[in-house]
Amino acid sequence: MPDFAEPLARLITEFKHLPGIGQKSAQRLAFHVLRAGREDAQRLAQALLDVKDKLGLCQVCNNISDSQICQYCRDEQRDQKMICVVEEPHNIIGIETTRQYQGLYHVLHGALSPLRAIGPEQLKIKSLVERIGAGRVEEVILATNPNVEGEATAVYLSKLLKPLGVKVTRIAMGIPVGSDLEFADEVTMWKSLEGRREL
Amino acid sequence: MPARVSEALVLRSYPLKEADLIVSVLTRDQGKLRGVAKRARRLKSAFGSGLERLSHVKMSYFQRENRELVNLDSCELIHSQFGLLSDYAASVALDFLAEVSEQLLPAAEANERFFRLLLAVLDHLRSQREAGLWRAVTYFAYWAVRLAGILPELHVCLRCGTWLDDPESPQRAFYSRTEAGLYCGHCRQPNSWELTIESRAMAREMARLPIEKAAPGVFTRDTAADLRRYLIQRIEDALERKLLTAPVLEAC
Ligand SMILES: [Zn+2]
Repeated sequence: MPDFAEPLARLITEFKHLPGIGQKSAQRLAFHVLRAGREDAQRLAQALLDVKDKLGLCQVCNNISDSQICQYCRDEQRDQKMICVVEEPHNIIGIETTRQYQGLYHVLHGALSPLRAIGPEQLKIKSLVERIGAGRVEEVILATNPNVEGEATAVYLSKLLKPLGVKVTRIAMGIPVGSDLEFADEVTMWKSLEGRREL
Repeated sequence: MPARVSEALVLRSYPLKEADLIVSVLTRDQGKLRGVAKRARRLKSAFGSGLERLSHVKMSYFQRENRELVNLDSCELIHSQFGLLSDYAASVALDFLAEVSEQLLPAAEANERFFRLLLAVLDHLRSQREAGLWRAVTYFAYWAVRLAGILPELHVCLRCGTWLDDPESPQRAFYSRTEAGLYCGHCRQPNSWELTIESRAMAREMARLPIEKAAPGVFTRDTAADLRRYLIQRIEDALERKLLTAPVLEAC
């Protein structure tokens, strides 16, 4: 690494900690900040601090929120009878961009993984059971990731929630849109067949 | 960069950068290898569902000299364990198999018998489902300890040499965390547990028979639980750490 002045070297090192940022990109970003006005740098620094200081978890669904109750839980237009369960807050954004889902959410903050010492107590499962116990919910959509840990979590949750009298559904898994059946492996193909629907 | 293709079982994967994975695999011919799978977390990757835990695959990779990590190129799925996930206990059992294999096996040392053990146990789990779960876990634990070379002599008392398995008068036997072998009733240590005569007979059966023939009756969580506990202690003793998955499995 070339010899940069200490504050610049420190900024480059900090950028390098960000995901997907290597030495070259970190240098480019650092020089951009150096060239920018003081106010721009101030706004960036303040935005970073605000994310840490002003955001917390929604008391209902555990989504990231700047108030005690997040925008989705506050919105009375949304379907209060449906809860979509996701692993991480950013999964909500993927679902919201479809504009097809109008229900509520619940964020688990992870998936069950004995190999990583993550059991039911480490996830926001208790509050999910309490929400359903309150009685308004009719359907729970399990939208955990379509991998081993996400699937194990979905199976665990469905056993836990079904006795509470709610309909429990799992998002479909299968062939990605725009790909070719020829390249689908055994599991992908099987899951697609399993999740087929009548036209 | 010579390209290789090895039959392999995926043991574990860790996310790397935005879309890559570091994957630990047990190959039939090269032992345990670690590699980087580029873009494996993308929707349309060259690996499909092949990098999920304990997938049985044909793995194509490049091995560079003096490099600890190989470059995984693509894989072709032979058998997936995804079907077992409809049962949470089976899913934890898979985690247990993967953790023990990953922790117990040294890197880059071929161990074909261990590879075949995993295939046989996975096959048993897939065909017997819940009914085969505890048999599979116990059989695996027995052979994993044995193939790792850490199974002590189970026929004689560690202290006085009494033959414990005398068919005329079989002796009760006890084990403790601190000592690998067994003690007879006279020499038993404080803080020890019994390894019952039935469980020792089962261990002998597992030693000489394939999984589907060993202990063919009903096999529940309570069957040979003392043997399983003893074997897990041997594994934890060798690793000098506790297994994360063992208590989760027993609580299932
Ligand atoms: Zn909320």
